[in-house]
Amino acid sequence: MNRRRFLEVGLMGSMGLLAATAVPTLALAQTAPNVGSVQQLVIAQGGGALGDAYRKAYFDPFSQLTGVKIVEADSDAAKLKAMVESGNLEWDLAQLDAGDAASVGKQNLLEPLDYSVIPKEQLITDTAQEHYVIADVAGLTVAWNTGSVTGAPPSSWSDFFDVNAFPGRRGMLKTAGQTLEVALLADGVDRAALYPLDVDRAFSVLDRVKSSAVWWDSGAQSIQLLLDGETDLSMMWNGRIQQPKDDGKPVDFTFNQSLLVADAWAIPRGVKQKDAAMQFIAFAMRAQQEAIFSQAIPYIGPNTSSTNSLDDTLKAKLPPSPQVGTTVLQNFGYWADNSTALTDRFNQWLLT
Amino acid sequence: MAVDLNVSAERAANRRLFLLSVPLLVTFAALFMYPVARVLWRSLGDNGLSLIAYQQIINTPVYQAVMLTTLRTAMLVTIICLLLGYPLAYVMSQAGRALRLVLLVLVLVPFWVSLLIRSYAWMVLLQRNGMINDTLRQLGLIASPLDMMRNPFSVAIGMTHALLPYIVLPLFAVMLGIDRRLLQAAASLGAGPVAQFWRIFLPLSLPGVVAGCLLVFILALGFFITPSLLGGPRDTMIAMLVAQETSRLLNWPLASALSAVLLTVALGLYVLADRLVGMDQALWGGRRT
Repeated sequence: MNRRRFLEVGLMGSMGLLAATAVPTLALAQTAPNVGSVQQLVIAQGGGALGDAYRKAYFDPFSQLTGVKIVEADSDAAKLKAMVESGNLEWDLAQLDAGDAASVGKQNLLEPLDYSVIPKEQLITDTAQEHYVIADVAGLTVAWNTGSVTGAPPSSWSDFFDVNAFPGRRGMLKTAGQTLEVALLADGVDRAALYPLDVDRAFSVLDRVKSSAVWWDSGAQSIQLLLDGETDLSMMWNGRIQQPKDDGKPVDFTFNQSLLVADAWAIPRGVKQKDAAMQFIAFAMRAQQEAIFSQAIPYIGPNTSSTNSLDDTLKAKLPPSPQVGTTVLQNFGYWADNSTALTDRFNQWLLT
Repeated sequence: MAVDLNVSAERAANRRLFLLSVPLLVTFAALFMYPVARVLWRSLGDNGLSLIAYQQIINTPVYQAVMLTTLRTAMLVTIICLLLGYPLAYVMSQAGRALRLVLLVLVLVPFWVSLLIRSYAWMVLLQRNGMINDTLRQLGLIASPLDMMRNPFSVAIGMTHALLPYIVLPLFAVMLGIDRRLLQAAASLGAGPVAQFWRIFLPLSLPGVVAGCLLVFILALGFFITPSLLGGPRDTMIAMLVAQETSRLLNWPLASALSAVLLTVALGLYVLADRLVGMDQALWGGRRT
């Protein structure tokens, strides 16, 4: 996911902050990470409500425990590439879209992560990779406008791609990534057998909805289209729809079969303070910190125990992990290898 | 003798003028030519020299289709801007001071509003439950909403709205400079208003037409936000693909190669227009010594 997704979610951030201040955030009996003599870490992140949640759950507590000052910067995969190639490193650590992290890692622009420091065994399967580790997980869900979809709402991707049962315009993400996966899930592909993607099958499923598709590029666009009635159903990241739903707007969604997409922490290659950066990442993997994070924004952290301390109403708003729900984690490595070819094919398909 | 003195004096004058332009040329070279050269160099691959990016462009039909869409849209928008902008500039140049000021403000104020906001505003106007459809339905003129979004229509509207000032202002400037007395002279020789316009005014305004059209066309070629927000998948323009390759796919050689192709096409069209219309003559008219 990219930072544009979070730019409009200020309301959600403040609601999250209200909820979060009710929970004590004392660093009782916490071991301080060992940062050596490092004074300051520069961390690039995507901004918006996500940045606020990072600050509350990770940056501020880390600073309190270790005395390290955290300076924030704007995250951008292209900028990271330019920085590493020119040798002019401005960041110690970056939060990136997980797909971007995978592809940047493949281009040898990231430091390999030290899993003797970062507790890999506490994390959801496949979230800890060689060059990046998942920071937070959101769900791509089936959403609908309750005003236009009267009767039984769609409950799965098969319903979403069924133009007979659910006529009307569908908001769809204008990238190959995520769109191809949900097309396959709609056609009955088992989530364990999703990758490598059966691309031909996915495109034939997409053909079914082509004439009723309304393509969007950004999260802000997707929710606006649904609220305006420009779309009757939509692919939607849960973070975008939770606040309007809570506000009483006529929109709803389901976590069934949700495709889990993610942000990742990564360290640009050549960073001098990488040991301290690893310590920060390990800190961000702590269940206690991730619980605070999930209260600030409806995403989950990769620690399998992060939601244990949360109450049920809050848990219902969070994307279920694949172990607990019917969700499936996107395979970022697959996209690092195949995004070029599949994007070309997807663009071609869009044109015809 | 007198002729030789004139020539060397003229050469000295030219040299002085050239020296005056050196700071600009140096800035231009450093801040524009050099980065463009770097981008073009990047198109030959991340390491060493290879033509893979260009091969990819040739072998993937997507890029050719998008290039054609881009050229077609840019040409359409240029023509519409000319048809709308010429009368507007004409009225502005002939009007009294008060009306001229009002019209100038009406042209400039939207120009100063961010392009992104204007594109969103068009979405609000044109969408199914948007202002235009709602108004038409309330007036009883239509039964079901018109499909005005995500097609070439909406893209053309958005881009024309954004690019109109670029043709109105040069035209206005040129038209202001046309001597009214030439038209009076034509009248005294028996020309009616139509002939005055067709045979005197229009040819004299041609430099403005050429400059404005060129500006609008080149800008339209590189347009990105407006077709992205207002257009459907079939209205994809080349700049959108360049952005995709640069920011998401991080395939900089390909992005650079696409940019190089766009640059070549634009320059090629300029050369073609020059052959057909005589750009130098059209732009500078009889004013060049």
